[in-house]
Amino acid sequence: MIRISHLNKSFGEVKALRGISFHVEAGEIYGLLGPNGAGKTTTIGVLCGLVIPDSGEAFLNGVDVIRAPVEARRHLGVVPQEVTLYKELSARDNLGFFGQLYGLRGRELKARVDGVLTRMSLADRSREPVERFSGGMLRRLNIAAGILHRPKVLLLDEPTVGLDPQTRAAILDLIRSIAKEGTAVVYTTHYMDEAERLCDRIAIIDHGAILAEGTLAQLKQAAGEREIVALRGTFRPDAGPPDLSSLPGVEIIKMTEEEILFSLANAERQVSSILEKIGAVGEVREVAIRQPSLENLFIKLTGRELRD
Amino acid sequence: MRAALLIASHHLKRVIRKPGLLLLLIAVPFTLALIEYAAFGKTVAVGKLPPVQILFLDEDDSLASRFLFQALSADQMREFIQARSVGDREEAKRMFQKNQASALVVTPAGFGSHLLDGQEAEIQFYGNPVQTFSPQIAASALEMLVLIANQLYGEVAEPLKTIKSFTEGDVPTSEEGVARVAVQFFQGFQKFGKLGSLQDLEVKLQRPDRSGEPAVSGSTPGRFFAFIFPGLLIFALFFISQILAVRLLRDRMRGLQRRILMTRASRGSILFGGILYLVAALFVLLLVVGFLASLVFGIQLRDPLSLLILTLGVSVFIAGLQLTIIGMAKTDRGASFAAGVIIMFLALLGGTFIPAENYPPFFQALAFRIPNGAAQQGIIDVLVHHRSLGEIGSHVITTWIWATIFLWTAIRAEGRRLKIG
Repeated sequence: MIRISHLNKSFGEVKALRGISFHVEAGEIYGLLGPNGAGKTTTIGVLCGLVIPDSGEAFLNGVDVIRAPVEARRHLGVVPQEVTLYKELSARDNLGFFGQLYGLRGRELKARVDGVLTRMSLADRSREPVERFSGGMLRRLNIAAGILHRPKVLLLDEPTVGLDPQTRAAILDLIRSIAKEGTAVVYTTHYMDEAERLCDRIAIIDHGAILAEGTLAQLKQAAGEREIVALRGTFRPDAGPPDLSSLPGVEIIKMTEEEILFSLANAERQVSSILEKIGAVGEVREVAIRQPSLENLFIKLTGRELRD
Repeated sequence: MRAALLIASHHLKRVIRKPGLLLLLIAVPFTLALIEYAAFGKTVAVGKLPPVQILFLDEDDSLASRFLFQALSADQMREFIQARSVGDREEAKRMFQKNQASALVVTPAGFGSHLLDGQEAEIQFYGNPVQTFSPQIAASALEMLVLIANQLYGEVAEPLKTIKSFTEGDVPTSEEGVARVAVQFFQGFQKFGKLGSLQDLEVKLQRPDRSGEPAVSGSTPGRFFAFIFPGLLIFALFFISQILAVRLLRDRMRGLQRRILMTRASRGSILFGGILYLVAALFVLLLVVGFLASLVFGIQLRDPLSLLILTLGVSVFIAGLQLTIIGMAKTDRGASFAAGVIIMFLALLGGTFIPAENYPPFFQALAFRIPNGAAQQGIIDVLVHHRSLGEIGSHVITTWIWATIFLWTAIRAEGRRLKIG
């Protein structure tokens, strides 16, 4: 349904995409997991035909996005990160406008609008100006505008940012149900738990490149049984890394003036030895041990936490 | 094209759904027009105007006609009027066409002899039809002179008759007769000088029949408003367009334009949808407000075709200008500031508050070369001076040249913005 291969894109000196390739099948939810500036939105821009890549290919339902962007967008629904709705208009008017832009008319349009409003539990408020809606209602309507024309491919760009857990859970359920109907879903997020709960396959993306890709089980397996030990305090990176030669299997992932991250097995047994060695390069105020997880894999691959 | 129409109608729908500020701005030209009428409408005076240029054609070349010219040129009059002599009516016509004079006063042949005969003497007065206030001032000044002259004439009619009888040889000249005339003149001037007021006198100014000519503008409220309202309406339209255009800019900043780009709509349809929306909104507003003004102020809407061509031209120009500004601006504040400065500059130069036909020649020529000034004068020419489409051709062409230029710059600026990646 979606096929992207070897996408490269630079904005001046900045390389936004470096050989990105992936594919998504019908009914599958594919997660693009990465921090801000990783290349997620640029990838979505290419899929929408808004960003022309320097090289590479992108197909939606077999249509070349770069050569025939308007035709490709017939199969595409997009839910942007921002709530992009006309606040002075009602929910019904907003959906009517976007529906018409996707070629829906007359009775079909009305039926689709009624259907999607009911599905989003917005039917009873459908004639009110949306400026009176709560954040959760706006997010639901934002999604409704993206699925009204029943696209074969749905791109969701961090659709749950800033929402309370209950509303987030409701939206994730909704996305699952959309995928079950056969829609290929690309879901970008920097919420690790969302990716774990929702996505069939996940790609970890950073600096414009996919660092790892697979199902949640595959990725966890790639992370191995290793844990992450995070030491917070005051350190001197310029003094060089601490001597860990007597601690086999302990690997430094990252070292800054405030934090040092280690990857290792049996962290609880080895943490006191690490603390002894670290005294030479700084002072530790806080110690945290993280169990094997997607987050650990992310840190291991990118050297930073997702919120960085 | 269908998507462009859909986008344009969508934006118009949004305006209709939340028209608050728009309605407030529509009230602005009406309010300003009423204020101007309250201040100047009845006296037809606009602050301190430059002296009114009056042409004087003496076809009689008599003592009386020369006296009238000297009276019009008197020092006491120079603050209000400047009289200059012309050789013939053709010269006066040419100066009218160049807008170098406000009125022509003619003393026809026989003026002096009619006075001496005690018959009704005629002074012909022609106001320049392309001007509004100044001919009124000239007419008032002439009326005042004639009022005084008629009174004086009443007092010295008898000695004048005696002089005529001397000159025509009916009565032989004698020392006694000349002395009697001198005494009668002296008594007449003395009597005239003692009059404290001229208010009770009934004086009639003799003018040629002008039923075929348009009356001097500003002489009725409807004409006053027809003269003053077009500029104020265009001024209000500038600000309304600014609000409508900034909405589009905010849409872009909020990602709404990008979302439309993610649908089946092409870049071209988004671009032309925006242009169509702004032009249609401004054009309809101009027509509706113009029609309302005709009802409220009693403005006679003449020559609809000329008015439609001019209003469409000025709508396209203003839409193009605003879309160019938002195409180049990075923020809505920046766009509002730039638009505000440009609007004030154009309004002052184009004659928004005092129509440019009353400007000094250099500024008038400048005003007629900028789009709002040209369109405004074109509308005034149609409504007030009853000119035809052919006669206002230069204003129409100027308006549309600017409209085309700014439409092109808008397409360039907005088109560049729409190329996102």
